[in-house]
Amino acid sequence: MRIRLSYLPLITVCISLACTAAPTLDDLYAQQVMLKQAEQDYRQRAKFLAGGEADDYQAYIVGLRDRLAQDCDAMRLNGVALPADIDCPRQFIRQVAPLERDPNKSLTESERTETLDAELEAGLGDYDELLLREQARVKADRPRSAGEGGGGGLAGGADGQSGDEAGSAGTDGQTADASDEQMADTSIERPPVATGSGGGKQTVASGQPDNIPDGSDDDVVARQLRKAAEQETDPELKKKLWEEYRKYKQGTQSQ
Amino acid sequence: MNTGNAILRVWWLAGVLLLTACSATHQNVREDTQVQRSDSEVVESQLLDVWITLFDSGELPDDEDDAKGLSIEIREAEARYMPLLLRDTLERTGYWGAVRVVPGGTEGGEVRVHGTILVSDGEHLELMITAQDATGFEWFRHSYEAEAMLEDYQRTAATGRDVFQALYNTIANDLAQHRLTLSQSEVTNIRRVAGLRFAADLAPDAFDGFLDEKDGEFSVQRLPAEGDPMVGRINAIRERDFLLVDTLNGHFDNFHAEMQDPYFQWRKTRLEELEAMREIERQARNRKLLGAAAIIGAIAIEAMGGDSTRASTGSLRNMMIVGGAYAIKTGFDKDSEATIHQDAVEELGESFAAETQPLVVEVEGETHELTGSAENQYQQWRGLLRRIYATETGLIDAAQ
Repeated sequence: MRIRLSYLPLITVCISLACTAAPTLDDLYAQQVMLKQAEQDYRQRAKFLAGGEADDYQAYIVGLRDRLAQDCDAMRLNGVALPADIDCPRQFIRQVAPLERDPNKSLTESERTETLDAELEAGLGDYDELLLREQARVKADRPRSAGEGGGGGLAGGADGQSGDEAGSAGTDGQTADASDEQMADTSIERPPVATGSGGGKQTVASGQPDNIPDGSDDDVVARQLRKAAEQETDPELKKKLWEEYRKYKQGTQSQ
Repeated sequence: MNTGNAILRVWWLAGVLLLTACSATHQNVREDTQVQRSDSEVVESQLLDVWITLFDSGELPDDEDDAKGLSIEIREAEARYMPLLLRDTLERTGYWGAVRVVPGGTEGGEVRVHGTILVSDGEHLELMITAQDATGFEWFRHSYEAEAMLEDYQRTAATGRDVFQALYNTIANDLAQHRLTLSQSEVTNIRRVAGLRFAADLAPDAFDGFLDEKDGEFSVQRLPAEGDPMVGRINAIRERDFLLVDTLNGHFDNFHAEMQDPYFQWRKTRLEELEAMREIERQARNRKLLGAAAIIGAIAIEAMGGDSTRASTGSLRNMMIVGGAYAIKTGFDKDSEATIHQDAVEELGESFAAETQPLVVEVEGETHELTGSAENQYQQWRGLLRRIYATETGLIDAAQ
């Protein structure tokens, strides 16, 4: 499904307007969930998006990132200590003006760490840009014959079977709750990824309000919002995310 | 039995077991092998990422006839093309996390799959596949062999399915079978080891002693403390590492898309020519044999028959000799026709190699450029992480 270019100003305006109100921690959490979902979704779908869609999606992600970064900044300026599980985006840190220091005064350890962290974040931001440019180049180089279905990947069912015809085997109970074996927060993580198309149905969390559209005509942004809402376990955040989804859908339908 | 003998026997037995364990097994792939899919979604914490290294191109056949129309340039293209088919197959099974193709020598990944092309001529495909997890444990080392007929190419032309898809399905099934033997804690351990190996590579000072390595196998000794800021930094860099691999796969996808049609056509046309050549060679051989038999028969009649027989069969013998000679001649003519097909096979190979070589050079250049920039960047980050670690732990000298 293509994102409609006409929605972009709407999204941008929404993001800008949201920045004008004083943010709360709940806002930050909701924004963080949306951003992570968007990044994950983009990563999964990037190769299936047409050039225009990809650009729009990237712009959307950048918008989310900026919004979260600015809200983080605002919270900090208000003297709110941000919880450790809020991951303020790198771009924000790059925009922070260097601390004004007396050159004669030596830096404390934490100041020095802060400076080095900022340097690292700046490097990460630059590297992100490099990779985005490279991805744009990849898309530009994609042969036309590859079409929308991805660059050269075989068509679905090319393994000689399709759908239910495929053989299957159990997963040794590993689809059950594996929380006791989940990676601790202290572990080196890797981003969550999509499984192959052979995966079973997506688990849909309950708590969906009644007035939510069925999502059959969602564009990428709506899909993103919906997914974030479905997967959120915090009832308050879930409610906010559904609300965002509903508003967005209303906005797109009135266009 | 004395103790010395007993020890020797134990060592011998251990040696045999080790050799058995290390040696590769061989499978002739059934053409109707279907890929096994997970019947339910695997929870994210139990997904393992698979990195498939670009294959080794292997060696061309020693036999000149077998090697006709093949070249190392084509093999190099195949070594980049085939891992993508395996990747696409694995992605569809639902057993794995991200499945990506990576350049040779790339460190990382939770499950690593490596292949070597043993035989590939469009008619036969034989691959040696090794699978290993991040702990260094080798899952298996198998060779897979499959054969394709001209009809297979005709049948799959419209579907986009590779004629050797059954071979990739079999590899995917073997990987899935091994995955199913792993317990949840084993999967978690593999993921942790992969993460810590990445961390130790980037910040060896900060992650010293978290892993133990013995004979190429890694085990977790301890985990980072809760809230360790260094973990956050490593995760941020690791995220970029995945993005880098994704970007590389974009280039590989483009390569695949450009190579798919010409590769299919080359293999199909090559097989057509080979089959035509074999048919002509068979006819030529038969004609020569018939001709020779006729001549021999004529001579035998002459030698063994009496005067009356020789007199009465004179014209028949002449006809047999002349006919035999003609049959042999046409046999040789057929050989010339076969040579035309041989030349066609050669030309097809040269033409396909010329077509793919720029593609290989291009994707190789892009890979080098990207991994080169990444390595420079990682080197800077290594230095930065070292300074941060030194600052945080009070090692001021190192931080300066």
